Amino acid sequence: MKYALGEFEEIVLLLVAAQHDQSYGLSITKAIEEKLKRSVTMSSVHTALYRLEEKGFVQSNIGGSSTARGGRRKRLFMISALGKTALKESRAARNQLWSMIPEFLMK
Amino acid sequence: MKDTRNILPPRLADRLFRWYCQNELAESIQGDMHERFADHVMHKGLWKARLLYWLSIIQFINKYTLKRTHSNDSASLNSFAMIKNYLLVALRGLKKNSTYASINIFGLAIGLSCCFMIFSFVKRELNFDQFHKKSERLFRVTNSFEKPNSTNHWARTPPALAPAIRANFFGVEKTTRLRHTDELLYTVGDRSFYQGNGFFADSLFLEMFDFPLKSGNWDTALDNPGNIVLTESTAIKFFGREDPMGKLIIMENETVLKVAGILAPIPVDSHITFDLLISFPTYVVPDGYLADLNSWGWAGFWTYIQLSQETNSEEFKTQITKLYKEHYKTGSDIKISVELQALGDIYLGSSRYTNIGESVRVGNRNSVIGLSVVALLILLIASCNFMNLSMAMSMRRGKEIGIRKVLGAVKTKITKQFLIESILVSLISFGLALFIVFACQYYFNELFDLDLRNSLLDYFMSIPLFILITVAIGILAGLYPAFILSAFNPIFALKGKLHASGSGAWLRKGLLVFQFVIALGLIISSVIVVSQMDFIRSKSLGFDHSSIVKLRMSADAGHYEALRNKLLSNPRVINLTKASHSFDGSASSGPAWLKGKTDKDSHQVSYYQTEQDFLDVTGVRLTEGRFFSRDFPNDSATALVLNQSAVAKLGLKNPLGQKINFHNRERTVIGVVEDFHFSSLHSSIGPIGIVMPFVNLEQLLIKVQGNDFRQTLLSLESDWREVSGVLPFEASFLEDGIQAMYEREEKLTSLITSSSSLAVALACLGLYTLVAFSIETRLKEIGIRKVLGAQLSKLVILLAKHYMILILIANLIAWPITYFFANQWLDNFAYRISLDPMVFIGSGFVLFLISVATIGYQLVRAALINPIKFLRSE
Repeated sequence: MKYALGEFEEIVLLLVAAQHDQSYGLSITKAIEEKLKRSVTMSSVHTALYRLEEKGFVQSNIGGSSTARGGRRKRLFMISALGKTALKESRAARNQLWSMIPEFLMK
Repeated sequence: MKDTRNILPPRLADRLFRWYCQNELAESIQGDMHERFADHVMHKGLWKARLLYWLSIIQFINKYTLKRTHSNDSASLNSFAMIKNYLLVALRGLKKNSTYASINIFGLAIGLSCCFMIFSFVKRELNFDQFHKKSERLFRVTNSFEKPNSTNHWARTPPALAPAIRANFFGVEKTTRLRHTDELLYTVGDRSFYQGNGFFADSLFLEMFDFPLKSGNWDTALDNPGNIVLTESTAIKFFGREDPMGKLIIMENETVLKVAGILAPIPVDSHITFDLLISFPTYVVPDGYLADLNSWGWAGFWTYIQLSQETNSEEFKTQITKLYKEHYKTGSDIKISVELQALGDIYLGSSRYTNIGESVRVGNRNSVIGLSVVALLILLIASCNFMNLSMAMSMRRGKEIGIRKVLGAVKTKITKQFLIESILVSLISFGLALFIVFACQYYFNELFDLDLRNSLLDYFMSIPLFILITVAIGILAGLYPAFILSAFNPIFALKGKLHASGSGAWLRKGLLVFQFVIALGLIISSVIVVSQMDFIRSKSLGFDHSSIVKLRMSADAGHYEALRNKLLSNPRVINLTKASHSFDGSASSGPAWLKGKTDKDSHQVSYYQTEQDFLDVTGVRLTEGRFFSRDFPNDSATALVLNQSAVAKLGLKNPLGQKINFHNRERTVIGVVEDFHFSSLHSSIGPIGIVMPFVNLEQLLIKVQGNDFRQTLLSLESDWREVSGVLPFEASFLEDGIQAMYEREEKLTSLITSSSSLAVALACLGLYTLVAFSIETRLKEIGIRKVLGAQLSKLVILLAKHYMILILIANLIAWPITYFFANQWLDNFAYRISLDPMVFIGSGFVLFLISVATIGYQLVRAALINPIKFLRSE
């Protein structure tokens, strides 16, 4: 496969895309917990983000801070063109697989 | 509900995180965690939030957080540039305060170099005899006699011991005996020399010890009877420029010796020192000695053994003890035991031995320890000085610190800067110290008779250690400015000078007091040491050693009579006598016991042979009975005079007329004299039995008068020439000999005294610069005071007051401490001076005067300033 995406990585990448320019480690963690009802540690989300960055699927830059963060700035993540292609490809692959399932089976 | 925004996550956890994560991710991760923590506090409660926080800190340990990222590369480049800047600023600072800086550097350099030199001396003392390759396996056999009320340790052993050890044991590879040669007459062609300081040595001597031969074969040089080995200097004395190998020397007009080897100079760190070696079979027991070379009772020989690698010296010791006991029969209450003294222990570990003998160097462990302590104290004072002055100088740099901080320097950078600077300055001192050491090296070598080559090596060997010490001092001195000053709020720092108040001032005052306590302690101690030494010397010599000339003569009786008559007609000669020992360290002794008892109850008593006029010559005082007299011709055979120690030792209530078996003959006590030292001050005065000569003595003691010693010696020599013809005239003043014997002690004492003076000088140097510096920072204050009408005297008092108080405090601390230690030390002596409070007060007063003189000039100059000069710029 050209664009290697793990399952968890894919979720994180989807959320980065979904949150557009407001996504950072904690926001994604919260989204996973709330939307997917899945318990996750913040460190694994961060790790996934860094790995995605290494693969070139996301780009990070330094963003604003808040009092709750003790004045520390956020690291905001944006999906890259490569990331978008990877997501699309993964979705197309799934769609293709979905389409192979006999229709009566899923009724 | 509390405002949760103010609740912060556990700080320790944060610190842990900042510790393991040092890259660009840290900030955002920590921010996320803090934000989440705030959420958790709100929804899950404080405790759970904290727990989760800790948990996530631990979960975050992974390869991304542990990585130290590229940004550090630029930082390290930057820090290199910064170090360059630090060095530049440091050098500029030194230039700006050049006077203080140079005093600071110089003071530390003096302290370091002094310490350095003493250190190499101490190292030499501790490493005596290590140049012998087999020193680990070489031992001196000594013995001890334990009696119910006393124990004697003898360094010398009987002549039969070494051959018996070699014959009986496998574990020993080599043995050798040494016998001192005394002063003998050596004739080469038509020239004669008296030469002492030699040994009769068994043939294996040169194989066991590594005294290198310049020519000749160490294997065989001492094998044959009649062989002699000379040191280079003796060879030059005997033969001049001729090649001495194979030449003949006539000893004592009867024995022919052949030169079989030339020795390189004996290293200064050898405990045995000699000018010549004669093969042992040449030795003939002199007439009048009641023992021979098979004797087990004549402890007049040094025995050295070389054990094989496998031999355990402890086990071997008990075996030799057994052997000794088999042969040496004594009373059952005397316990003999043999000790094996490792070669390396001999020099410093011989203080307990009584018959050490001549030509053996004996070190003084206490002096070595004392000297090391003094060196350490000097280093302490010097480093206190250094720290104090560095601190004072850094106080002026508030603005610099402030600007650095404003420009973004963090605390650790400033800490680093001050540490680097301080280490740099201390290393400059170290360089200067090396220079001083090399410059003074010649003088220093003279002082301690160090071997130049060896000690140079020593210097280099100890350089790393001293660099370490120097860097440590530098770090210590830099610690205060590094940590305290770097923590100042930049706003205060920029506003003006940092005030020398608070902890810094206390620290500096404390250091000053500490320095002066040490300096004062050293002054008082050296006064006490010197007066105790003087006291001992005058107290225990027990006779008047001034104006006594020691003269070698031939053993021929007719010669003596002629010489005696001639000399007595010399107006400069008051009286003269023959004497067996001349206060030069030699001694011999034998058993003595009361009539009716046996040698089981014997006591070891030194014998001293002399004649009727001994008391007149030496001024030794008679306390009971009479001395030898020409009116009693029987004296020469049976009379015995004891000293007070001997009377006490033998337990005599009424000594006169007692019959005592001494030196294998029954003798009658005719008199008692006061104790006097006849051998050496190193050993305490033991029991002495004085008898008329039983061998032909070769030594005259002549009491002379007049102040012109040179003329006296010349007139004695012309008398000598008339009577003795060509025989060499060898005369010396007894005082000089005694002086020579205590030269080392004198040197050590003077070294301790001069070191303490140096310590005082260093302490005062520190005080001087500190006062000068602090006055300089107070010039404006003084100016204002003057404008407002302050008097000169008041100003001086104002400035001097707290230094004087500090010195007073130093006195109060130093007195009891020094008193305690001095008392302990003095208790080691049989005769001791009492501690005079005047010594303490006087020393304190002297130190006070010195410090007043030191700072007085500064104070008065400061008080006399023209206030306008310092006030106008504001």
